Amino acid sequence: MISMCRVVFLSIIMQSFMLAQPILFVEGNIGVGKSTFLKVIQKYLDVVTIAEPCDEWQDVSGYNLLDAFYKDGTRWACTFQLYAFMTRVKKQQKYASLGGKVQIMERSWFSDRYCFAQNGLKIGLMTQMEWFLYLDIWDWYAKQAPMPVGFVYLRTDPKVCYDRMQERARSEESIVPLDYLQMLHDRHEEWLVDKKYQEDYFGQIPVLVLDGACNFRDDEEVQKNFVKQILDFLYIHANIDFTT
Amino acid sequence: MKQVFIEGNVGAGKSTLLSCMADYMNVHVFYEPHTLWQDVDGYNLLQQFFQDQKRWAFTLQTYVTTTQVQQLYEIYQHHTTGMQFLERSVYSGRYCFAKNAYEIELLDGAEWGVYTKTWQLQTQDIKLPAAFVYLRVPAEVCYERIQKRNRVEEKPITLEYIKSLELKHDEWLIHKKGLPQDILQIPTLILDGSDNFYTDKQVQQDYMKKIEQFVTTL
Repeated sequence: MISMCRVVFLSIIMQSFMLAQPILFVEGNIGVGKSTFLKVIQKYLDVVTIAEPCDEWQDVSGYNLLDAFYKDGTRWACTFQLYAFMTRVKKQQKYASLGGKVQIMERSWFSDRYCFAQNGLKIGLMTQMEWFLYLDIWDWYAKQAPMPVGFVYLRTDPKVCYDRMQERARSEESIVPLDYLQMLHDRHEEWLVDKKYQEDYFGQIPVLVLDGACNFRDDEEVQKNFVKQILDFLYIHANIDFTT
Repeated sequence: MKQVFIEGNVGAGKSTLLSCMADYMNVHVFYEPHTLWQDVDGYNLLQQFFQDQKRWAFTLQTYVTTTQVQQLYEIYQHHTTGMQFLERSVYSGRYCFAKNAYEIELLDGAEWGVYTKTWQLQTQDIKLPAAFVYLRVPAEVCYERIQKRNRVEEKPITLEYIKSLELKHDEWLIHKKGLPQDILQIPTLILDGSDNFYTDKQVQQDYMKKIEQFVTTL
């Protein structure tokens, strides 16, 4: 009886904690338009958006770790992946202390593990030992970090990402080949659509899949439709009602 | 709960000291989790490190902090009272071993940056130590003991490496160089381990008394 009360009590605490700081993670391939998507959402909803901390990866006390990783993946994948997920946790912690609103964050420590590090393992950039070590550290922090309400997956054909990348032509992206986008796409699909990891501790986090091929950058109809789907998703999974 | 950390070079005799203390005083002692570094899912990271220090220094140092912090949280959960003695701390990891690795270029600038930032995050919620005990043994004596105990991982260790670590321990625990304020203030007992502490029961008794006296002041 006592333990039952305790369970109920704890779940109330956890719920109120969750309601105090609901988080959505926006996931998707390179070039799908995640930062454009964040700007669009901010136009319609009063939320806090958190950009991916890639500036921190390009300047680790003056060193460009992202660049080192691209140039020699086998040597730097483990170091880079550890740092990437740490900076994400840290950035979220920083925003968490501000309290209040719904947070929408570009990628997450989950995509670090289930897409990028997983891909690094698969193509041999990380050794088995490095992977084990990465997971050990990852697990420890992920279990202390807040649980998100869910993932918003901007899903599209990697060819669309490739074309969009050509269009915006950021200099450092010119080296990302279509093959690599295809691999990352496959990792996203395994994780968010095929639910390959649903037996994992974090395997039950809800996913909202949005069609990333739509013109959400310019088309207001598409934008409104996306916003409505996000509102429904927040209401269903975290009982958050923006309309009241 | 008060935690006292035993610091000292490789081969100084830290674990011997700890087992003496477990016999002599009514305290909990905790050994360095080095078996975890020797078996990372079947891989011996410690051995890899000594075989190719430049390649594996970052990985080892980061993993050392990880296992140390995990050990601390385990202790916070299960041993909430009394005096505890632990072999090495996250501080020797950072201010001796990693710092030394950076200075002798086993860690490059990016790795040092990632290591220190990760360290900061990993240790942000741990409790401050009550004290340090520095078992100071001359590098030559340490080196001799390392040769004698013949641990397979330690075979490639050079006297030069032990000397560079000695320098870092001295800078940290005696000269208190480059430390943040909260660590600077932690009381430190220095034991001169050049006496034949290993075999001489009289010296051991003497050390125990010194430590006992020291901890009553905490």
